[in-house]
Amino acid sequence: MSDPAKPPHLSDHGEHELPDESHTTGLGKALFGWTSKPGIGRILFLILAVISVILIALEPLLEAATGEGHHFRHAYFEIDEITAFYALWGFASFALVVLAGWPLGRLMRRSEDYYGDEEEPAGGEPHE
Amino acid sequence: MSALISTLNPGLVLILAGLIAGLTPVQRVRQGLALAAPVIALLMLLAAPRETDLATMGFMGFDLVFYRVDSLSFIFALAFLIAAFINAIYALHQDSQLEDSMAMSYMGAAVAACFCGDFISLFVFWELTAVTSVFLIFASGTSAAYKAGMRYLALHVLSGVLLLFGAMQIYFATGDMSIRALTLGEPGVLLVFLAFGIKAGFPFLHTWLADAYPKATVTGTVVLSAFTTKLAIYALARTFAGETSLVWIGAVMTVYPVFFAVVENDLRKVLSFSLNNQLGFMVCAIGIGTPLALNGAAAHAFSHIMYKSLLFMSMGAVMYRTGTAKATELGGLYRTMPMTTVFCLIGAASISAFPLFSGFVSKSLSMSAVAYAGFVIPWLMLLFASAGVLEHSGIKIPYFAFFGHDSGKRPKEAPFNMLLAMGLAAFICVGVGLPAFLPGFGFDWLYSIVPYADDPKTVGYEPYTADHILTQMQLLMLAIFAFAVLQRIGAYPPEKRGIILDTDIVFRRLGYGFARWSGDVWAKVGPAMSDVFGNMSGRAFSRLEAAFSPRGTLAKGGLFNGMAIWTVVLLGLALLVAFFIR
Repeated sequence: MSDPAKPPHLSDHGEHELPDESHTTGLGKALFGWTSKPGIGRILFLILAVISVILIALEPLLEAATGEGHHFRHAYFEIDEITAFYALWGFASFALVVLAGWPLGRLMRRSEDYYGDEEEPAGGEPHE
Repeated sequence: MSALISTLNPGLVLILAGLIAGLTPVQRVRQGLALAAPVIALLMLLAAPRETDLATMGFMGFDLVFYRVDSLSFIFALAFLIAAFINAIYALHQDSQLEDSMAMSYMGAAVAACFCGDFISLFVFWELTAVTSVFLIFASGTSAAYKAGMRYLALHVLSGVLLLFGAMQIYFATGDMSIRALTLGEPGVLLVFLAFGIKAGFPFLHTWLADAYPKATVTGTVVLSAFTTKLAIYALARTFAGETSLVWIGAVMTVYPVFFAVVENDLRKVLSFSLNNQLGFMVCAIGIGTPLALNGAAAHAFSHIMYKSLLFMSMGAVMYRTGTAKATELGGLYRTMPMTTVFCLIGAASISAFPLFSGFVSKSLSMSAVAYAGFVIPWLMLLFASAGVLEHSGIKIPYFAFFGHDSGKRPKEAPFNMLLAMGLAAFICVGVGLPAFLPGFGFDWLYSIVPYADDPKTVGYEPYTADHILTQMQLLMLAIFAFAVLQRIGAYPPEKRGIILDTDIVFRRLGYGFARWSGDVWAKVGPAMSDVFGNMSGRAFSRLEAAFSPRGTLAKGGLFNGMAIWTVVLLGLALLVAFFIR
């Protein structure tokens, strides 16, 4: 196995060691500077949680608002008639894929020269 | 003169430009050729009348159709020519005679193949895409790229050989060489199916894709990503629409690359797996075969060419500036590459099918078609894969390159020509994804160039309904929420250096292993036998050793070098069959 890298966490931003911002361009700071603000991981997490709750809650609300004898959602099959089916399926699929990464990495990852060639990709020298 | 031009397959313009570029040492001239050729070809395509054979030839009793435009070939060729123009801009900074020449010929061959009306001319351009594109892989100059290129070439030449053998059998059985709807089970059809399957990345035939694409040059990978596989999708749509096995093959294709992508460290390889996954959606739709489904496959191919190029361009820019595309070496690049970051995010949103982006309006056509046809399990697999796409292309690519853990790297912003190319692709991604505020605007334009534009289900299809937007946002936002949860509890697997095994281990390791094993067996058994026999076995072993050992004959290309040679021999035989045995 290769060297254990520290997993990068959303909460890593700025909480441990401040990254060097001396080269950051104005545009970079203006557009994405907020992503390295201290505590941004927690804020984003909360925002995502709120959005998720709203998206799920909207479904029965819109269904109730749709007129008598009609349905807001046009389900194709029985399974997607379940309220918040897409939300559940999205969450579960994503979690399954990511969690499968642990055993799969153990099972299938080999050192970069497993096939006897330098697996260093093309490009090589950076073009400054 | 104009009569002559109107019979000229537009792909030949690019091939000709490629030939001239190969003989032109002046970079400016090659740049001019690369930019002008797609524009000229596009004008020729737009002027071409539809549904008529524009260039035909009787050749050894076969009726060859070199140039025929219809609505299916139109949308693929249009996407190819737009991609060719964008690629030309993206490569403007680069001074490489070989790459310019091969890229143009390759793109031209793919365009030309779209207009072929018979299997023989298709075969010619089919092989031409293989032998020209491999130089974009070789051009990296590393030994890994050389070996991967040989493996790529072997499989693609094999694909061509299968196509020709299959076409010959079809011809002998039916006396008809034209490209038309085929049915599996008839003589030769399976060979053609497999030939298309290799290029389309069917399961177990897919290994060349993630093997070779990430090892090509910065610009080469962008060029490769657009043409070969979509040409195969086009060919499948033309010949195997409605072949039900494709529904399952496609559904499987969408699912397994997701798992490879999550553990892969090389971000260009992640994109290659993601490319394989996207092809699955198109293959699945072709299997459904209804007009709505084929429209979905074609629209998806069009938008896919744009957003996949965009993503490969952004990773190419990162690699150009930092020298690497490995997740472990990258992170925090938004600080100095904000424009590239924005373009990458647009590509990520498009491929993840967020509303207002191209993936949303194109993927939903095929998804609906699969559901209308009543395939519940494949539909659930596609839905699963949609969340998977979000994981690797929507989040992993931008997050690990531009945000996430700060790598400390502070590269310059991408060169202007790269930004311009990315900007154009991003413009198309957003442009065709927007709601149709006016007729012919946004997705309405995309739906107007699909093969069955007057299909009532497509005409009446409205992607921007509250129902559709809400369910899609539920799927995507809850998946992103899952990412946030897993990150916070530390359950997201860390990126690690290393390669991921794929099914190509069978021929990359076992070939050598088998030779070693049989050599060992011979060495043990040999002495027990007579001297003569012992010597013979010793010689056999040393031959095997000479062929397969790391310092042996085949070391430069591994087992595949030999395979490439054999397929070329087979190719020669096939040509003999084609021309003399009648």
